Amino acid sequence: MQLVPLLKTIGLLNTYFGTSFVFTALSLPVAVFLYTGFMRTLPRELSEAAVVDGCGLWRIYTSIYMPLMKTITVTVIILRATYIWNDLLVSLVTISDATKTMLVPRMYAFNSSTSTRWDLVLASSVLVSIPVAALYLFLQKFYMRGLVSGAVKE
Amino acid sequence: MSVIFLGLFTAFVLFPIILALLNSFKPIAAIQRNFLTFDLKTFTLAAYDKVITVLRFGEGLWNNIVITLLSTLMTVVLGSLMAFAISLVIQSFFARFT
Repeated sequence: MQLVPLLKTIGLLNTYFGTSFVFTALSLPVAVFLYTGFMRTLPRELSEAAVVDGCGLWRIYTSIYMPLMKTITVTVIILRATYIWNDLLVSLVTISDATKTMLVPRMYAFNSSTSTRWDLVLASSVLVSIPVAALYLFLQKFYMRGLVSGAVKE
Repeated sequence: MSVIFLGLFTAFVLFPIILALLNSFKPIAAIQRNFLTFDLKTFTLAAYDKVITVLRFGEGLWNNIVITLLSTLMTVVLGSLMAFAISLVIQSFFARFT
């Protein structure tokens, strides 16, 4: 897997940043797709009026687009955070330092070729899923609204 | 009809979750004997205790939080900026025809 030699060359193997960069690269296509779909529903007159008032691109982004993107941002956060939290492969490949390992690869230790400690697997599954379930319950009212925004052209 | 379908679908989705939750409070011998039943006499928190100590759960949780926060933050910032650039390009492209 070329990812590991690349991370090793740039000194990011076994670091939080290295793993985060990999997760970000994997998450960006979905995020860009959702954000673009949402931005295309915003009226063009908004940015045109801002340009007339003398706003630059950065100001248009921070003052006009960002406040309108709350719901879609929550959707992206829930979708990507859930995926990253539950991921096994990337964290297993990019982190070999036992002190920096994520929770799911640690759970994998309960499973061997000869036996599986089901009581420990199930207890750790429950514990690992609590934060994600809490995040979803806390932000769920924004989630569906953000997910369907940009689906239909008004 | 739709209520029945919704109820069946909910049961289908919730069944493995409830099963996992109930079996996590049982010793492994009881799980292997019968994983579909739950007896209060076999209730134990030993698995949770062992997971927290053996797995070094606090350390793993901290690693998860740091990596998830960093990745999600970078995804949101970079993703929204890229989408902004793309939407500007699309807008200017279609503006030629209007």
